[in-house]
Amino acid sequence: MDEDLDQVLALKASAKSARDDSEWKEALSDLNEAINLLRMAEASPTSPGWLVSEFADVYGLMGGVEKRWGLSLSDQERQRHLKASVEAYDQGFDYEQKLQAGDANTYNRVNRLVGRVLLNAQVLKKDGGAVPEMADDLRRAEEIVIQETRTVRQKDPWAYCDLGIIQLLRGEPDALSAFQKLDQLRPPAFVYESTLTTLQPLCEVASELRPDLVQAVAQLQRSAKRSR
Amino acid sequence: MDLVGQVAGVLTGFHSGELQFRGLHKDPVVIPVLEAVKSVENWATTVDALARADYLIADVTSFEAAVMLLLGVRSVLRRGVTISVTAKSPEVSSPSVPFTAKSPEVSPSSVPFNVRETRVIKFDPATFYDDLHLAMAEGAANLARDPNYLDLPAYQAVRAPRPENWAENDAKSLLVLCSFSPDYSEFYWKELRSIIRGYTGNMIPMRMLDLTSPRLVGQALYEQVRWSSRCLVDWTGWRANVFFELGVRLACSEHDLLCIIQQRDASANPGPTGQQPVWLDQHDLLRQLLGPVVYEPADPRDALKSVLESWSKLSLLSNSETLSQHPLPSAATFKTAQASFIWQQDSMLTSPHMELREAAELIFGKDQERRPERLVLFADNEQFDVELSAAVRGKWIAAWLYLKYLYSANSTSAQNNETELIAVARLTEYTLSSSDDPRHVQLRKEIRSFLRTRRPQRRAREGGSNSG
Repeated sequence: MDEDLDQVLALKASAKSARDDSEWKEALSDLNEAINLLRMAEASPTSPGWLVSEFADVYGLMGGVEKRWGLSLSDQERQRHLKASVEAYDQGFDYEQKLQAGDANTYNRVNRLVGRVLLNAQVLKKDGGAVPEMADDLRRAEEIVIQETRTVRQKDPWAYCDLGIIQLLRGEPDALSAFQKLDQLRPPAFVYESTLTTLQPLCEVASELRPDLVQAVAQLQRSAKRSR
Repeated sequence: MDLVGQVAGVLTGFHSGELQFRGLHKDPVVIPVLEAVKSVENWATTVDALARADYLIADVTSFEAAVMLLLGVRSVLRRGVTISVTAKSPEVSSPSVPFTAKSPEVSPSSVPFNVRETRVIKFDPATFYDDLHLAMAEGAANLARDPNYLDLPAYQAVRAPRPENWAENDAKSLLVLCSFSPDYSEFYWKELRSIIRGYTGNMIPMRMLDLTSPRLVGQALYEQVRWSSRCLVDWTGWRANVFFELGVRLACSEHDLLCIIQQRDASANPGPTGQQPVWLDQHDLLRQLLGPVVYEPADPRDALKSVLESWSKLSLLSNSETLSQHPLPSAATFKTAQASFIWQQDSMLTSPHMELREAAELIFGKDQERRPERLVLFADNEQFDVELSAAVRGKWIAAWLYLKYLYSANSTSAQNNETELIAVARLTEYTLSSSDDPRHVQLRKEIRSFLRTRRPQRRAREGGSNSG
C-alpha cells in the first residue's frame, strides 16, 4: 500500500512538472494514471488512510491543469477546459469534505467557485446570476476557512491564500489582510506563484465587480518577488 | 486483569479493518514469565520470541524482576512496538502517561529509570480496549514513519560505536550494575568497592553514576553495558533497573558476567500462610537459571574473594571460558539473540536511494506543494532554507544516479526495481524543475528523456496485464 502512495506521489510530481512546462496532455495523463491507482487501492478490502486526501488532491491538480490549459486558449476551447476544470474540482470537493480534521483542506471548495467565476463573472452579482447558490457557497467557505485558520490550519499558508481569495470574491473590505497574514508565515515562493495563477485571471474577468483584485495581485507579486 | 483476553479482542476486532493488524494472529502468543525463566530451553525460546514478535505487550505491574529482564532483552532486539501495561495506576488524566507522572501507588522514585520515559498504559477495563488499539496503531505508524522511533531505551545506545578511549579504560575498569538505595550505597563504598578492587588486580569498578562519558546518562550506561568486557551485577534488592540492564547485557555482550547477591535476598521467604508468593517463585527460578554468587554483607570477602580472582583472570578472547556454575551457558543469550535478530530490518541495510529519499522527505515532507509548512527547526532562516533546498535536490540527484547505476547493471533485481526507478526519476525531475542551474537543467532533460522512453513500454505492459 505504501508503494501505491509512492507511485501516486511520483505521478503527481511528474504532472506538476509537466504543468509548469505547459505540457497539459502529459500532466493529465499522469493524473489519470494516479486516479487509476487510487481506484485500485480503493477496491482493496482495507483501503489505506491516505486514500481520500490523495483523491482530493489529484482531482484538485487535474482541475488546476484544465484551468491553466483553458486560460491559455480562447473562445469555445477555453470554455470547454474551464468546464472540465470545474468538474474536476467538484469531484475533488466530494472527497475533500470527507477529510479528517488533521488533513483539512479547502483547495477544491474554493477553486470550484473560482472556476465558476472564470466561466461567467456575472455569478458574483447579488442574485448569483446563473449560479444562485454562489453567495451562500462563498459565505460558507469563508466561515470554514476562518474556523480552520483559528485551529488546525493556523500555520498552513494555503489556508490564508484560500481565505484571501474567498474574501476578495465576496467583496469583503479587509480581504487583503489574509495575504498579510500569509506573508507572516514566510511561505515558499511557489505558494505566491500558484495563488497568482488564480488571482490574475480572476482579475481579468472580474475586476470591475471586485476592484480589490487589482491591488491583491500587485501585493502578491511584491511578496513573490521578495520570497524568491 | 484479563490482559490476554483484551489483547485477543483487539487483534480480532481490528483484524480485517486495519492494515497493520491483518498479518497478525488473532490469538496472542502468551508467555507466562515463570515459564520463560524455568529452563535454559524456555529461556532460549523466549529470547527468540522477543526478537521476532512484531508487537510485545508486557505486564509491568510491580516491575517484577523477570519481566524487566525480558524487557531488557527485547530492547536490544527490536526497535518496537513494545507496550507496557500496569494494573496499578500511574495516574490519570490521560489513558497512557509517561511514568514521570505523579502516582499514589507508584511514586516516581520507585519507577525504574529505564522505563520512566516509556509510555505505560494503565489497565482500566472500561477503556483498555481502545487505549491498547490506539497504542498499537500509533506505535506501528510511528515505527514505519520515523527511523528513530523507540519505545524502549537501549536499542540505539547499544549500537553506538565503541568509545575512543575504550581500549585504555576497559583494561583497568569493570562495570557494576547495582542498586542505588542509601543502605546499599553505604555498603558499596565501605565494603564492596574495595573488595572488588583488591581481588580483580585493582580494576576500577564503575557504576552508572561513576561514568564520565559526556553522553546522556542512560545512553552512556547502555554504551558501557555493550562494550565493557567485564560486568558485575549485584542483584541485592531485586531492583527493576538492575534486571532491565542485566537483560540488555545478556543480549548484547558475549562476555561472561558475574552475578552476586546478598544472603538475605537470596533466601526464599514464605509468607505467614507458608505459601510462597508468585514473585518469590520468580526469584527462585532466576537464581537457578543465572546462579548468582551468594555473599554475607557482614563478610563479603569470604564468598567473593576467589570468585573475583578467577573471574578477573578469565581470558576475554575465549567465550567458552566461564566460571559460571549456573545452567545458562556463557554467552548463550547473546548467541540466541544474534541468531534470532531480524537483521533484515536493520536500518544499516537500507538501500542508499531509500536513505536519501527519507532524508529528503525529512526536510520538505513527502509532498511539499501540498504541505508547504517548514518542518525543519529554524528553516525560516533564509540562508538555511536555501541550503536545505539545495540539500534536498542533491539527495534526489544522488538517489536517481544510484538507481540508474543499478538499472544499468541489467540484472533481474534491477529490472524488478523499474517501478521504483521511474518513481524516483519523476520526483527528481520535479525537484530539479525549480532550479535554473545549467547542470540541473541538463540533468532534468536527461531524466525527461528517460521517462519518455519508459512511457510507451509501461503502457504496453499495463495493457498486456489487463488483457491477461
